Amino acid sequence: MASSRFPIPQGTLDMLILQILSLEPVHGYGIAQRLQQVSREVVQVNQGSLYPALHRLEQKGWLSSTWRQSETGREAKFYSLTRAGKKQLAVEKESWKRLAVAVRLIFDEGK
Amino acid sequence: MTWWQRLLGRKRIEAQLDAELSDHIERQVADYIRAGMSEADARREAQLLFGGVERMKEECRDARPTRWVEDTFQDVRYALRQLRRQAGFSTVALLTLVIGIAANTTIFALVNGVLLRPLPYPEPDRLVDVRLGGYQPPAQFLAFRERARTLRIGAYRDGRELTLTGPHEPVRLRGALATAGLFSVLGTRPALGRTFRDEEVRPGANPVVILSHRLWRQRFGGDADVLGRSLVLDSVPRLIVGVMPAEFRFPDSNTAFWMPLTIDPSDSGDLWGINAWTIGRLRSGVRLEQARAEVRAFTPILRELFPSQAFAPTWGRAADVVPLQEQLVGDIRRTMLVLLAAIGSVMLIVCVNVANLLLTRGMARHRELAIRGALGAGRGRLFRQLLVESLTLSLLAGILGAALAFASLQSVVSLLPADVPRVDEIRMDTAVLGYALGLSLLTGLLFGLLPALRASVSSVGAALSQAGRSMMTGRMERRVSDVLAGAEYALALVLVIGAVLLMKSFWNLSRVDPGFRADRLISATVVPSELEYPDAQARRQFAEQLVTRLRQLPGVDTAAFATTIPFGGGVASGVFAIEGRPDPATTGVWSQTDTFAHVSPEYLRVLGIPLLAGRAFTDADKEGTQLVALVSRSLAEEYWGDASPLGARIKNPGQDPPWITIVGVVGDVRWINLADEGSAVLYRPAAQSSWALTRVVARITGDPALLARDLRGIVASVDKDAPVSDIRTAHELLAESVAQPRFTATVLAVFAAVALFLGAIGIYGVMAYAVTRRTQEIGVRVALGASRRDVLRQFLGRGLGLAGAGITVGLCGALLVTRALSSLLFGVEPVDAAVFVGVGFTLAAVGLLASYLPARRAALLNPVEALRTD
Repeated sequence: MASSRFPIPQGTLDMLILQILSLEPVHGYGIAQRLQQVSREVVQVNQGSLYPALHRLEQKGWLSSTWRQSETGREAKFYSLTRAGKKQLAVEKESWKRLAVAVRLIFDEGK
Repeated sequence: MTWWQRLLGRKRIEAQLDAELSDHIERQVADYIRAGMSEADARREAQLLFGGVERMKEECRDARPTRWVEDTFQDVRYALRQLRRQAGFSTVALLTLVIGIAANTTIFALVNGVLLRPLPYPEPDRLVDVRLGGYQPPAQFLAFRERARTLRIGAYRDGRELTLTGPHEPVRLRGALATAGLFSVLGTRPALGRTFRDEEVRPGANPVVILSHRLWRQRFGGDADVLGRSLVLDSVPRLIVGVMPAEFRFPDSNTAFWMPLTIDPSDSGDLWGINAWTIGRLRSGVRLEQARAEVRAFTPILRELFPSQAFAPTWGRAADVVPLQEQLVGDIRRTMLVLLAAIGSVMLIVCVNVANLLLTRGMARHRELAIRGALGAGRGRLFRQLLVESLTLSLLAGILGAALAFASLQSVVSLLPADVPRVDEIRMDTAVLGYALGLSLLTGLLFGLLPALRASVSSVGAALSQAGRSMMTGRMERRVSDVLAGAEYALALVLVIGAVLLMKSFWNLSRVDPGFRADRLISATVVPSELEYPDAQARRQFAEQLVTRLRQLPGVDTAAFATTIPFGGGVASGVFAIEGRPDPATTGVWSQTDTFAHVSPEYLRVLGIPLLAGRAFTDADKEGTQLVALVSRSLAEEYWGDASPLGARIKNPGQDPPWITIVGVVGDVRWINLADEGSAVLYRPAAQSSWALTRVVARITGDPALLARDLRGIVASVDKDAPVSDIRTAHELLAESVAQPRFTATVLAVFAAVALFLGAIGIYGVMAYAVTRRTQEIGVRVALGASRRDVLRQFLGRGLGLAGAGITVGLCGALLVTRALSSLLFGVEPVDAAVFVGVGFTLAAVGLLASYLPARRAALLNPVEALRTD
């Protein structure tokens, strides 16, 4: 089960979590699964950093949480994006785009 | 979720966190099972994938901002558990801290009440004491009041004693005379009624009086109907027009009533004769310097206003404006600050002791802390935990100490000497409680910082190893311990020197010859009622009758009466003019006495005052014969130098001739203060005086208590309405006069003794721990051939060296510090060689004793067991 892990830096993890939650509210396990599936198994979150990240983001006010009935019938803690979180996501997406462009330029330069 | 919700709902949050994480694991397990794994395998894999649950919980908790608060609570609870577990250590540390904090808080309460609290009047910082220069004659006051632009002023004369008669027993009261403006300057509104009106202050107005709150309660039971009734003072009924509130005590707490201070502008005696004190209130927007400038500039104006009074060239040089609070408490400030500094030093020593205690205990906890570090506690966390432990201890001590101070404050206040001002304002208010809290925090930081730093820095590996424990003694730790013990010994030395200096000074003071024989001398104040004895002659006869009956008592040797006795009050300072010298009525320069004394003929004999030249008073000196006087030696020296004053003539101000002839010179008596040189006294025969002869003095052979009772009986038999008060022996009066130096010396001696004791304990503690720590090493040395004496000498030497270092530093410090005491010392230099050397040797001996016990223990160690010690 433990395939090749792609280590993600903490800041990037935050951004990905915000992105996942921008679509719809999800619980912690669901976030981990979705990251894995959507990235076609490339991104596998170190589960040790997921929950601290979720709590931290909630602390900062970018996420909010409620306890709801889940599909298994048990109660689960669902996280959703706040308006401040949406803004933050946009900011981070923008920074990421600019970083990607810069990195691409440096690589092309080398060619 | 707000932060306080988080704090309160901690259990719920923990449960939620737990649920969230286990939910995740359950889902993972479910997925694995669906993928085909067995339940057991699925669960195992899920756990592995998830990682350490506890650690993750910690990280999630770290994300909360209230983390440090929860940690602190946890630390506090742990600290309390530790304290309970180590009862021995906790008791010692707690006890010393509680006593230290209680003592400091008490002294601060004293300092706060007397020095720091603002005076109980509106805007007290704008109140000033006005010295117009010269000796404050009312003429000057009136002139200045008209012209003053920076100040509003009022005048008063204190110490006025009158007899209150009425349905109760007659009683002697002290009050003050005040101008109408005095009350408005101070600004306190009367509790009942009003203050004086302008017309009541004029001469010839209807007599009125304002009561103090205490007199109102005592005499009228707090009856609100008191206005309009009258009070009979010295047989004059006075209309009560007002009652002042309880906290109004001006000029001092003995003032029972206020009467108008009448100044007759046409009477030169009123204008220039007797002092009146002046206080003022700065007008709004005026600064103190402006008022001072105006007062100083007033002298030339005064000269212009009274051209017939040629003032001496030095008149007005001392003109000044001083904040009123300074004026009231100036004398006692130095004493209070010395006490505060002394008890602060004791507190410092207590802290050092507790710090040393903690340091040594900290060494024993290395293992525990190392394990904590291994479990993931960061250095900061460890440091915080240890600091919280110290703060918990010190805050606990602070609470108990403040409670102790509160309980004992009134008893302490009752021990204060009688002349300390503002004693009623000493209480535990918010400032004092704040001080106690701040002191506990500071103490906790002081003694906790070092051990916390040291312990949190220790390395994990070395601490956990077996050999680690005995080698763990950091050199730095030992050095710090030594420095601390040496420093507290130095501090103790300074305190002891200060205390010994003050005690020596008090000893000198109490052995001063007052100039009269104080043995078996008893005095009392007796005032005949005005009604029965309306004129001077009648009052004189009363006194003579009284004294005659007194002499007939078996226990009485001789008796006399007068207007005043040394240290017994009735002091009336004043001025006189000398024949043949420039007329003071024009120059404004009078000859001054410290007091006049109008005495009966046997007075000098009763008191044992020697006659130095000329003759004493006899029964032949009476009304109608030549007016005579005696002078004290210092008065003669001051105004006649080496020449004999016998035959010279003097007169009082405003008095037409005949002149008074000086017929004798008597020995100096210290009348008011033992520290002063002999007072300048002018004696006059009672028979030639119209003054109130209120003091009776007798030399007795029997028991003073019995005599007191007999005295009251005799007075009652002569005049039942005459109050008898202040029955004291001369020794009691002398003791009262040195109450303050005695108090200071005693208190400081107690502090110094405690400091020395703690300092000795400090050295003992350091040495004892050194022996314990080096047990193994000692065993090695003895096994290799060292004799017991060598071991003893080694440790004694170390202890003595420690004490010696402390003593040296302390002596240097004392050289600098004792200078601050010089105003409190009498007959002692601040750097008294005998005291310094003596105390140095004493402390060396104490240090030797303190190190002897541990050194002896070291010398008596069984080497075999010592080697086996861990």
